[in-house]
Amino acid sequence: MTKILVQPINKKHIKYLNNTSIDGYIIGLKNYSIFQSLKLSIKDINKLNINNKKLYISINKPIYNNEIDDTKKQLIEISKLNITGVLFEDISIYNINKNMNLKLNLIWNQMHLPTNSLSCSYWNNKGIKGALLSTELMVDDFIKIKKDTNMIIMVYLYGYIPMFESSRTLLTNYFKYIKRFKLNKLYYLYEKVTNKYYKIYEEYNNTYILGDILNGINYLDKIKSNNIDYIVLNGVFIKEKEFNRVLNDYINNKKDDNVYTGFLNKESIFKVKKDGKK
Amino acid sequence: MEKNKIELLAPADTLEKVKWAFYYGADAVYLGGQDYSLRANAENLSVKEIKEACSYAHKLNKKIYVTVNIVFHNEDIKGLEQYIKELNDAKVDAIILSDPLVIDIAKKVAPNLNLFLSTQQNTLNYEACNYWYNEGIKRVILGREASKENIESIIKNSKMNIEIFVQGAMCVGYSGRCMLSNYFTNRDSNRGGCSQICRWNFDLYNKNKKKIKSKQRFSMAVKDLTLLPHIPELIDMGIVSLKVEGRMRSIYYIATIINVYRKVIDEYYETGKVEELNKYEKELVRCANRESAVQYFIKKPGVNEQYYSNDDLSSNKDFLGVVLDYDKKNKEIILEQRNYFKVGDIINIFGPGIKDFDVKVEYIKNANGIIDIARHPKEIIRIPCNIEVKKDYILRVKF
Repeated sequence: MTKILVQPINKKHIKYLNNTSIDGYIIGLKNYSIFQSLKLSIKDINKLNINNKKLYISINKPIYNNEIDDTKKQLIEISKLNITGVLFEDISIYNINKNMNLKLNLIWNQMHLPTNSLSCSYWNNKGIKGALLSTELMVDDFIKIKKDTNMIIMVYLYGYIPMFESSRTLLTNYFKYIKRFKLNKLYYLYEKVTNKYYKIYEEYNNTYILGDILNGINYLDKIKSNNIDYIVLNGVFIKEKEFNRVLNDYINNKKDDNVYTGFLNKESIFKVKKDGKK
Repeated sequence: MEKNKIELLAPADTLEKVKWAFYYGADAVYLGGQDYSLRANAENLSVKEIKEACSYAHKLNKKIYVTVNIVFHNEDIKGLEQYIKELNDAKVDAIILSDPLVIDIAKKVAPNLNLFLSTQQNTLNYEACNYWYNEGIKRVILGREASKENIESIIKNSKMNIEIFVQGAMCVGYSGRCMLSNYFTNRDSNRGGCSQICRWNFDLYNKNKKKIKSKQRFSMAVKDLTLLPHIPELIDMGIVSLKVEGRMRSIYYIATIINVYRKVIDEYYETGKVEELNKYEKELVRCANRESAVQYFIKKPGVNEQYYSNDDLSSNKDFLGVVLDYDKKNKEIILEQRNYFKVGDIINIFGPGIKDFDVKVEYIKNANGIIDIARHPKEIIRIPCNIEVKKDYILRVKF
C-alpha cells in the first residue's frame, strides 16, 4: 500500500499532521538539508512528537571535505535516534554508515540521479534500502523501476520542484555588481519563454532555484495500483492552509484538473539532430 | 609520458582534434562516442573512429578515455553492454562514467577496463573517494567546487587518483544538479542536452514581484576557469591529471591551450619554476572568447568571477592559418588561410616544442600569383619565411 511522507513546514505543522492519516515525515537536519522547510538539530529532532509515525532525516546537500568530521559526529548521533532512515545525497554518508557500522537505513536521494532500475539495483546490492526517484522521470518510469527492483521506492508528487543548486551566491553577486542592497531573502526570476516566475534564494551561501509546484494527484491511482511504496509531499515555501488542502486531496484521492505535472507524463529529449528532432 | 609525471588531458570530438591535441602535447585525450555522452550534440566519434584514435594514441604511448557519462533512463540502457564491449575491444584506456550502473555492466562484460568517475557525481570529499576506490574506480574527477585545501586533504586521506579541471567553461550549478535546461527547453541536461540556460539574462523581481530595475539584467553566467598560474602547486599536490574542457572547441583553441599547458608543465618539471607565466596567460586570454578566472581554487568565487555582459564575448580573429608544408628551396610557408591578414603584417608562428617567433609578411602568393591581402578562408597560399616550419604549426596575430 502506498504511504504518504510529508516534509512539514514547521514544528507546529507537525502537530496538525500528527492527527492526519499520513504515514510519516521527512525532516531536514540543520546545516545539512536543502529544499526543505523544517531543518532541526538532532536534539530537537529527538524531542519531536510524531505520534508513532515514520521519521526520515534528509541529508541532501553536497558535503565538502572539511565537513566530514562533523558529518561523522552527526551520523553517530542520528544512529542513536529511533528513526526510520536517512535520505542521502553525498556518497560519503554511505561510506561512513558502512565503515562505522552505524546501521542506518539509507535511502538513495542523489537529487536528479536516481533515474533507472539498474542504478537502483546497484545501490540495493550495497545494502541501500530505498530510493527517492528523480523528479525528471515519468510515472511509467516510476512503475518500471518499482517492478525491476526490490527497493523501497519513493516518488516526489507534490511541492516546488528543485531545479538548480549552485555553490555561488548568485543574488549577492548580482546586487554587488549593480551596486544595490540585497533586501529580500527570496526573489523571482522571470523567464519570458515559459512566461513564468521562478523562486530564487540563497541558503548556506549557496543559491537555489525552484520550478513550478508539481502536483501528481491525478496519477495517484496509477501509483497506488503499481505498489509504489511512498509518495512525498513537500511543504517548502507552501502556505500551511494550501498544503493541508492538497494533503486532504491526497488522503481522499480527489482529482484536480488544474495542476502542473512536470515530467510525470512528458518525455524530455536530449539529442537534438540537425532537423531539430530528437 | 614519464612515469608519475602529471597528465595533460585534452578534449576532442573528432579524430582530427585527437591528432591535434596529441601533436601539441596532450598525454591523453577524452572524447565521446555517438551515444551515452554528455555532449550529445558534439560531432563525437563512431566506435570505428574510437578504435582508430586508440591505435593512433598507443603508437605515441598516449591514452584515450571515452565518456559514457549520461545519467541513464531505463530506455537508454539498451545497447550499453555491447557498446562497452566494443570500447574494450577498441582498447580504450578508460571510460568515464557518472551513473553507477555502468560499473556493474563494465565489470560483467569488460572486467579489465579502467573506470573513471565523472565530475557529474560531484565528489568533494575523501570518504566518497574511498567508496569509489573500493568499487574499483581508478580515478575520480573532482567537483569543480573543490578548493586547494579540499583537494590536498582528499589526496592525503584517500588512495584515489585525482583529476581536476584546469581550463575552460564550467557549470554555474553543481554538476548534475542543474535542471534548468529540462524545465525551460525540455532538453535533459544530464543526458547531454544542456541548452546552457545559465548564460541567459533574466528579469529579477523582489518578493513582492516588483521588478529590480537596472541596466544590467540578472545573469548567473560565470567566467571560464583557468588554473594556469597554479600549475606548480597542482603538480606538487600529487594530482594525477589536469583536464582541459572543450570538446566542441576549435583546433586553434585546443592547439593553443594544450601548447601552453605543455610548456608550463614541462618547464616546471625541468627547472622547478615557470619564467614567462604572464606571456602564457596572455596566450590563453587571446585564444578564448570569454574571460577566465581561478574560480574555487583559492577562495569562494564572488562577483568578479561572474559574467554580467555579453559585450565581453568576442569573436576570435587571431587564428590566421595552418602550415601545410615548407618549401625549402624558395623558403616559403605553404599554408591554409583562416582569417584576414595582409602584406606588411607581422604574424606569430607557434608549434609543439618550439619557441614561437614573429615573421613579417613580405608577400603573399596564391595559385594566381602575388596578392596583397589574404581574405579567403581555406585558400592555399604562400608567404616567405627563413625559418623552417613544420606541418600543422599555426600562424596567428602577433601580440
